[in-house]
Amino acid sequence: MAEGIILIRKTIQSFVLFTLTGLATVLAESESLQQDKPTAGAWQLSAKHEGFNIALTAITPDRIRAFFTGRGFPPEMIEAIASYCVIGTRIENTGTLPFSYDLSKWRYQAADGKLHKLKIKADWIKEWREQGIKFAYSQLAGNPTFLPGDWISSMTTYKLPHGADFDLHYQWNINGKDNTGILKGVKCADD
Amino acid sequence: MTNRIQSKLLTLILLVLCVSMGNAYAQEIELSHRASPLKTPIPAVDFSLIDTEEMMHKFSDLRGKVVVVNFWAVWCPPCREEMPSLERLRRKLADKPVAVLAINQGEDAERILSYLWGLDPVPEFPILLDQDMKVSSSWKVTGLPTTFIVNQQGDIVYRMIGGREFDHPEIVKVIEKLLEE
Repeated sequence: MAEGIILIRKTIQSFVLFTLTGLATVLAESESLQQDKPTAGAWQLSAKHEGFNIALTAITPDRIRAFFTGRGFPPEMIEAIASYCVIGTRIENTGTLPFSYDLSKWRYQAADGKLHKLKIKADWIKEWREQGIKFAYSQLAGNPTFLPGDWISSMTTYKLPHGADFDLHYQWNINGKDNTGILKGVKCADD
Repeated sequence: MTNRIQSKLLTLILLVLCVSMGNAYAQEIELSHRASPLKTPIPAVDFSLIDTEEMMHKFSDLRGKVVVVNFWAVWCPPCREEMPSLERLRRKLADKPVAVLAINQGEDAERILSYLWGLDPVPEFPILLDQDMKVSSSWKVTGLPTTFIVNQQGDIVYRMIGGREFDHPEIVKVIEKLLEE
């Protein structure tokens, strides 16, 4: 009987390991840079304002490599992107009015205490086009308008070492009025 | 006897684990069903694209129908999540002048079809190939998925960024209302 219990326990352990590995693979293969609805533990940090929600999670360099390899990017460009601190960024309009944001106005503040600009979609697209890469997605749109119900999850990139911490100063505009917020203690993924 | 009980117990445990893990994954994407009209309708830019069967489709040939135009890619999880609901929408409104088009962004037909054939229901609407992503650029798509609803006059009247459940009554109502205009 004791042997039976040990056998059951080992089988469960093996199965849980197998299933978790399988799930991780599914998630990796799905290259889910467009992350899902925020759920417990899925997002490192989030903030809810009236009509404007933002949530962040770090993406590991390996997942970045896997994603861009799958899109046929040349190795040098893949390494260039993976060398950045890449944060999965979800924006959602939960209100009743449209809003816009302008990524060129967003800043991050890291250990040096200075405010830095993000490397935004237009910067990446310019480099990609110079190398003949037609792909136009994965980076958070620079200056879009979100209608009520709209949401998206994409990447934002920061010239910071892997594992670094920073505060994100973000901005959005509703009805012609600029609003700002800060998400403190965002952590870049480790290598 | 003991072995048989152990075997049944193991099967039961495995089943419970499978169901719970499956549910955990399935619950991760929650689709919206909100559709907000554009302040000002925008004339839809015409295009011609081939589908996965290499048939040519000209968008302006659909004039007179309400057209749901979905920009997507297999690599995009919310795109995959919403895809079956597009087919359910098409079936729901099959007797009305409504067309559904899904415009894939830069992937090859083999990858697309191997994904689509695993869906339930399998989409029967055209899957068009925007290989160089010029159509999405002319329609000012900034992220995936993005879906437009074009009225019978050829104007874009709704634009939805992010995954939707297209056969939700609220979205069906939007389309039915456009058919009455």
